[in-house]
Amino acid sequence: MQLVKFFTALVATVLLILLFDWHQPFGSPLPALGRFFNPAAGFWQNARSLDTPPLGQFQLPGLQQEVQVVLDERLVPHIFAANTTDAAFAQGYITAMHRLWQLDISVRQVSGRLSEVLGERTLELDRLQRRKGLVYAAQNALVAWERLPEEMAIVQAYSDGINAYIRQLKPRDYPIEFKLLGYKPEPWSPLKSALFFKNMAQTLSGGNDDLEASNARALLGEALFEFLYPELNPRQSPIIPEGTTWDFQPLEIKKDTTGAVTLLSEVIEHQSIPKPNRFNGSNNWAVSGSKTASGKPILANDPHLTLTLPSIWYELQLQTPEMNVYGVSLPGLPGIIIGFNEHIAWGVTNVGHDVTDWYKITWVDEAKKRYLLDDQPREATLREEAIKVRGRDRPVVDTVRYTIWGPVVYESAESPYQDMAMRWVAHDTPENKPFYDMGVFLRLMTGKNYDDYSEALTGYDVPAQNFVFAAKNGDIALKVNGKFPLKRPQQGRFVQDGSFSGNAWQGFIPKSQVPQVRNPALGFVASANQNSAAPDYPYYYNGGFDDYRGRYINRRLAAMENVTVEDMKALQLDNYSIKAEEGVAALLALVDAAVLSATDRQWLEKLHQWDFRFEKAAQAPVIFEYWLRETYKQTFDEVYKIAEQDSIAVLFPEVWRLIELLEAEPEHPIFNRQATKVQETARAIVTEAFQTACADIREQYGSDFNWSDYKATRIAHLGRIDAFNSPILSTGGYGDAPNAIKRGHGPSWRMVVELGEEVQAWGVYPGGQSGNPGSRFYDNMVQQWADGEYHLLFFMQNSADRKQPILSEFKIAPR
Amino acid sequence: MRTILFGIFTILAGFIAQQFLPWWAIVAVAGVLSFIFDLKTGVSFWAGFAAAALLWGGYAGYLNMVNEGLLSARVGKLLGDMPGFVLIVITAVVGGIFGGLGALLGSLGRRLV
Repeated sequence: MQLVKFFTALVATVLLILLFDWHQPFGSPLPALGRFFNPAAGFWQNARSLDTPPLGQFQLPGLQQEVQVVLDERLVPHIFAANTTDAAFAQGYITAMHRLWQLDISVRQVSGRLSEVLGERTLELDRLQRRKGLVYAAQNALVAWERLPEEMAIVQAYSDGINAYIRQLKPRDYPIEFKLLGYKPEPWSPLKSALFFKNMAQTLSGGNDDLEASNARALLGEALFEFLYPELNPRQSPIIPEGTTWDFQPLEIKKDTTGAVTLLSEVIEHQSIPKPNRFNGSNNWAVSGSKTASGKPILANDPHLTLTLPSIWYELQLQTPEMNVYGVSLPGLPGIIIGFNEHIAWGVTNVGHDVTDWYKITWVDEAKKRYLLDDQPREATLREEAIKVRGRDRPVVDTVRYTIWGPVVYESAESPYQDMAMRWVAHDTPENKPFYDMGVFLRLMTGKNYDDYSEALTGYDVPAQNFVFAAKNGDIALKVNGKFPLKRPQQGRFVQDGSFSGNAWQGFIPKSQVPQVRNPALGFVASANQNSAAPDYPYYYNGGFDDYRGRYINRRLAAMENVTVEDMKALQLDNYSIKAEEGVAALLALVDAAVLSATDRQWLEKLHQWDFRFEKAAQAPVIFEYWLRETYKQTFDEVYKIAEQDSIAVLFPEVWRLIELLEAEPEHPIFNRQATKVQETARAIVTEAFQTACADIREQYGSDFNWSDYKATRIAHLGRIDAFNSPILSTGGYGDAPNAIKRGHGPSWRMVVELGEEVQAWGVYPGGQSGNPGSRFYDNMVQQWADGEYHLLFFMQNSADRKQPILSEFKIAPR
Repeated sequence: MRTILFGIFTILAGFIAQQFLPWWAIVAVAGVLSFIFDLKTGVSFWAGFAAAALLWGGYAGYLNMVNEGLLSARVGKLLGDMPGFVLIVITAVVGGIFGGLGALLGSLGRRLV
């Protein structure tokens, strides 16, 4: 009897243990509850402060000399090392301490390894990343890095630093996301840094509309296409000011290549793959001492990206005998991407050039092993991709075919002979150069003047950036820098025939011939993702370019005198939009107020009174947004029909074109809706759109609404764990205003640097240094960012500098 | 008295064991100590429950206090809009159940020999 009791209890206990040790029991998203709640190793351990090392002094293998790290009041590490590789090692170590899960998940995402830990639900995402050849691209980048031992040493030291931290960890110390998702960190490697770099390339230079543009042209017809989709917004104010002379002999571009110049005119029956956020953009500018109150140059930069917790940026200072540099880094890459030292400052915005083109592949055999090129069959290179999926015994195997263009990303189910291959600059193995990506940023970090900056950029390819520059000696400059294909006019705007080698890019624009300017007479340089140069720039390029921020920033900077740091902050925080200025004027000129109801007329009055600022408490911006959107939908019903009724991926006209048509051609038949019997002009459309907009707003919000509530900005957790999001923030801002705060996207780092005798800088980003949701440094800067506050950055002169209070310090000695 | 001593030892040994053993070590600790202290079967479960609940709940409560409830507020939200202190209760109960089962097994085991 006793025995029965004992064994019953034993079996019950064992079963319960198994139940509580089961990750995602019964298909639920729950972690193993016993492990998770165990206070000695589960999530409670993440309530301990993991932001600082437990000891003030310890040893690690891999260092050459002792490194000192000072953590300031905002948990920003200030690293003091005897050489560059030790600095990179310490950067890796401390980045891992604060951002380990972010490091892991961002590389899984880019390399198509999410399903390994997340299971079936990310399989299609992984498959797409493999098809896009991200690992292939990273391997090619690494080939170049490996050519230079001194650059490779930096990447390796960074990797060693991360791994030194991981090795110190017990399972209880793992970031909480590992515990929730039930897996553990794995070692870092230089390839992962290369993968992370390609992640940035994907985010910033992966945009393209080839497929959508081809379909629009095929279905709307040549004439309407040209009418709706002009390549150039005549009002844009380019990055490199008009009147800049191009003092170089441009390379010749072959206009006609045998049989190849045919533009495909068929509809491409594919739904398009997900694209990077089209708002990925930024502002940067530098004002010369001739325009500033202090007589010293000021540089400002705010990159606009998807806002996440933890943030894409990690702030730090690096000091070695060769450099003393402060700025933001990307967790996954050694060095500082946007920052300043005692001599110079630099910043980046994205270049919208289209460097991703699509080629139609014609297979010779059904097994898709050979494709047609110049009337000859050509072997494709087959690359097997094994995707491990949690919960499956065997990996999912996908074969990706590589052509001379690149990987075949689109495979058509209906027509087995016609797929599409991707030609992307980020896939290319860099040619032999004196230095590569690590060398670029090292040269910027140690740079002292314009020549150092200019030389550094010759090594930089992808993703192309507008590098703004200012130096203590008074120089300011801006270079539209990257690897830009040499294209025939219109080349790469549409899907091209991949069976003619003549459709290939004809090389690349030499670095000395990229659009650039140094110390212009205007006294400032600025970029906000608009067109790179005036139409007289000798090379053709296409892509996606901003239409309003750049114009406004140029207008403001041209008008400003005696510029102060406060003025520069105010410009970064400026909520004014030229889109509203021109859009409202165009709409108000056409609306027939007489037919509106009394309440609608009151709302119309709000637009008459509006100052075109997207302030948080204002109502006019909401009315404008609804009205413009409704007008857009009614006007371009021809395009919506293709997208919605026919379910075909199609390009939509740009908003500036709508505003231009409202202004200049309100009688044009494009304003006539196909579904109605009467003949309509812009007047009728605009008036009806206003009524619909008012009715929609009233239905959704009543009369109590404002811009901030409508926009509902919040910073989401990187792994979409909603409980780890920021609350909804009260902010102004607009995608087409300098302060480009949108729902989950916007200025991911704001920095203003004054290059006076003593370099001073201010900065803030919407996040915190720690990735641990249990840390007070997880989201401590979010509110300050939302309120438009900046921190005076603690640019330490040496490790004993205590001009600002510090949180803690520690020393790591070599072992 | 014996039960109280069992409790104190379970908490102490449990605390040490959990530094390097998996979470279910509490079963073994409570089991062995219940065997040694020869707890009555009738009280063993609740004695083990109380000791382990104190250990788990107390440790969690301490960590939560030092952290000023930052993490538990977020994890509580994650697990279904629970306030942070509920997580301490859940932690105590989970620990308690396994401590109790361990003590019960120890006591029943003692009856076998």
